[in-house]
Amino acid sequence: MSKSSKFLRSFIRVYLPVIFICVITLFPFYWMVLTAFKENRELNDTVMNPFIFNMPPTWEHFEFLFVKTKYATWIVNTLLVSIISTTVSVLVSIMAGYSLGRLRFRGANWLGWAIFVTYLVPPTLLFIPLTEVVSKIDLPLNIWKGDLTPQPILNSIWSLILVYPTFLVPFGTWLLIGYFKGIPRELEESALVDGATRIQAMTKIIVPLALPGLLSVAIFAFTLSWNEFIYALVFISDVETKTVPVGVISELIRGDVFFWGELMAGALLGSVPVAIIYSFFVDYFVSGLTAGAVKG
Amino acid sequence: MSSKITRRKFLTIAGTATASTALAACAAPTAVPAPKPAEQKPAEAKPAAPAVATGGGSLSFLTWTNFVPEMDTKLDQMTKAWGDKNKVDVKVEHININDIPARRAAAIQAKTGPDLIWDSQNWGTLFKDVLVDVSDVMNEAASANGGWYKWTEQFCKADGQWKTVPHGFSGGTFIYRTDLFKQNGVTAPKTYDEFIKVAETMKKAGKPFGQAVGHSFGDPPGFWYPFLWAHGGKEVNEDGKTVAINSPDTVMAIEKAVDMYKRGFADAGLAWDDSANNRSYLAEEISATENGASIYFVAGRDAAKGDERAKRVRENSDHFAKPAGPKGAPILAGGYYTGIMNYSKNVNAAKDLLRYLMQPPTYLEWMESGQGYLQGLAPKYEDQPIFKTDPKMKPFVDNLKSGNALWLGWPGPLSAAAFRVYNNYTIVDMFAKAISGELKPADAAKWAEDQLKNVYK
Repeated sequence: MSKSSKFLRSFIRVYLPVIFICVITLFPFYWMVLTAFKENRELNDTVMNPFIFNMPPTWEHFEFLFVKTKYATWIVNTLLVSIISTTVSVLVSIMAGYSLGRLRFRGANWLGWAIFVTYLVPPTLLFIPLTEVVSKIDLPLNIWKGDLTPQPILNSIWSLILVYPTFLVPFGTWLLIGYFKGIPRELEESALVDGATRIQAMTKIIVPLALPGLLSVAIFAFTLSWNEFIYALVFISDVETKTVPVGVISELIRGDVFFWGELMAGALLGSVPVAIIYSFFVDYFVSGLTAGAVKG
Repeated sequence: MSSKITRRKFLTIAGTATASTALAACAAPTAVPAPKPAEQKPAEAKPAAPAVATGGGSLSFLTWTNFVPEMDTKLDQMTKAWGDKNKVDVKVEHININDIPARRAAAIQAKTGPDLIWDSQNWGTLFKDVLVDVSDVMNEAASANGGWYKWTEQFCKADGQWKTVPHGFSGGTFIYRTDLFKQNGVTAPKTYDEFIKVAETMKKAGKPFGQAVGHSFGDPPGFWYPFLWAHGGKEVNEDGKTVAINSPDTVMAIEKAVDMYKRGFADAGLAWDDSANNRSYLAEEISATENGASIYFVAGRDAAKGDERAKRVRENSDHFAKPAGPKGAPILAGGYYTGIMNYSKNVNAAKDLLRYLMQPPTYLEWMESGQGYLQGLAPKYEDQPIFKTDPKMKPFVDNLKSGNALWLGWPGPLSAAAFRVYNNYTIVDMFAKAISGELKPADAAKWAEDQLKNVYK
C-alpha cells in the first residue's frame, strides 16, 4: 500500500470523523466567543458574514458584565456552592457507593436502584416541596462570628449547598456502586486478612483504586452544581447572593430584549472553570465513566 | 519544560485554592433576608436598616426586569425613598418575567417569600385565595386617579374584592420604516385590507413585514387575538362556556392570515419569538412589525453609542396603531398588576407602599421614566407628557383611547380557562398550523375547537 493511499485511508477513517465531531461540538463554543466579542451593530447586521469578525473585537460586553452587573459576585457564589456541595456529595457518595457495592446485605441491590430512581425525579417537580422544606430550616449561619442565633437559610447560598446533594449524591452513588463492584474483592480481602479494618481497607485499598471514578463523580457533580438553575432561582432573591445562571438571565434578558453579547460573555466566562477541570482530568474522567457504565 | 503545569501541580494549586475558598465561605457574610444597604453601597453609607427594631419591618417586592432599565432604577429609588421615610427596609428584586411563575408557586407553597408580587394578565384572579384584599388601596387610588379603565376590573377583581392593583400596560403597535414606506409610495394602513396591500408592496421591494407566530408571551398573542376578533372570530360565546371558535368568521380570518403571510410577510416569522422580530427590524430586514416600543428604544440606545445603522432605524421609524377589520380595531387588553401575598407579615406596610406608588405624582413620575413603554391604566394618563413630547409614541396611547381593549376569552368573562388557552397558545397555533401549511384553514379552526372544548369542558 502506498504512503498516500495509507494516509487517505486513515484520514477517512480517523481524521474525518474526528474533525466532524470537533466541528459539531466546538461550534457552539465558537459562536459564543464570536458573539461575546462582537459589537451590537455587527450582531444586528445580517449582511455581514456571521462566522467571522467583520469588525474589530470589543470588550464592551465584558465591561458591562463587571461594571453594570454583579457578575464577579455571582462567580464567587457559584464557585463556593459548587465546590462545597461537590465535596460533600463526593464524600457521601463514596460511603454510600462502597456500602452498596461492596458489602453483602439484604436489599442492597434494591437500595441501589432506589437511589438511582431518586436521581431521575426532575428538579422541576421537586423545587416546590423543597422550598417548603428549606424555608423551615434555620441554622447558625454566623457561627464563626460567635453568633449561635439560628437564621433562615432561604435566600442564602447554604440553601443551595444543602439541596444540591439531593441530586448529586444519588448520581454519584450510582456511578460509584458500579465502579466499586469492578474492583476485585481479593484485594480487599487480602487487606482484611492482613489485619486491616473495614475502614482501612476502604480508604487505603479500594478508594485509591477507584480514583478515576471519584474524579468522574466530582467533575459531574461540579458541572451539575455550576449549571443548576431552578433551585437557585427560587431559593435566592438577593441579587448579591445569586449564582451565574440565574444572575445573567435576570439581568440580561429584559422583556423582549436579549443582551446577546453580554449573555454570551457571561456564558463564556462561566464555562472557563469547568473547561479547565475537564482538560486536566479528561483521561481519568473517560475511564471512570466507562468503568462505571459497564460493571455492576 | 519545568514551567509546564502538571496534573500534580494543578491539584496542589486547586487544593490550596479550594481550601482557601472554603475558608472564605465560612468567613463570608451569608446573605440573609434583610441585607444591610450600608454594606452594599458604601457611598450611600447610613446606619444599617434595622428591620424590626424601628417598628417598620421589611418588605420584599418581586417584579420583572423591565426592558427600560430606567424604570427599574426609578422604582428602586422611589421604594427606597419611601422605605427610608417610613423606616421600612424595602427590597425590590427584578427577575426575568418568565421566571416569576416559578418563584410565585414556590413562595405560595412555602408560605414565605416576596410580600408583593408583580405579574401580567389576570394572575390576581387566578391566585385570589393567596392574595390580600386591596380594595381599600384601590378605592383611594381610583378616586385620586379619576378611575381606571373599566376592563382592568376583570384582571384584578375576584369575589367582589380587588386582589391586585393595575400598574401599567404595554400595548403593541406596529413599528414601521417611514423612509421605506415613502420610497414605495405607501402609507401607514388603517385597515387590515390596506395592511395586507402595504405588506405586499414592501415584500416585493425586499422589505416584508414580519410577525411572530411562535410560542412567546408578547407579540404572537398580541397580534393574533386582535386579528381574530377584528374579523368576527371568538373563542367562546358570552356565557364563557360555549366554544364558538369554529365559525365562518374564524375560517375567513385564517384564510386571510395565510394569504397575508404569503403575500407580505417574512417566512421566518413562523419560528420567531418576542425577540426575533426586534433583531430582524434592527437589521433592516423587515419594514414593519408588531412591537411594544422596545425596538424604537434599543435603536435609540445603540444610536447614542454611535451605531449608524441604529441611528438610521431610529430616525426613520414611527408607529401605527392597530388596523381595523370588518368588526373594528380591537387590541388585546392585559397589563401588569401587583398583589400582596397573604403570608406577608407586613401587610399594612405593603398596602402603604402600594398607596404611595399609586399616588398620581408618583405614578406619573414612574411612568415617565419608561418613556412611554408602559401606559397608565387610567384614562387620566392618556395625556401624560411623553406622548406629547415624542409624537412617535402617541399610537400606543391611541390604542388605549380607542376603547377597543378586549380581554382573553372575550366576549365571555376573563376566566382561568381563557388564561389556559392563552398559555397553551391555541389561538396562535391555529393560525400557525394554517400558515405553515400543516392544516387547511377549516381544519385549523376545527383543531382549535377540539382544543378549546378540552379546556372549557
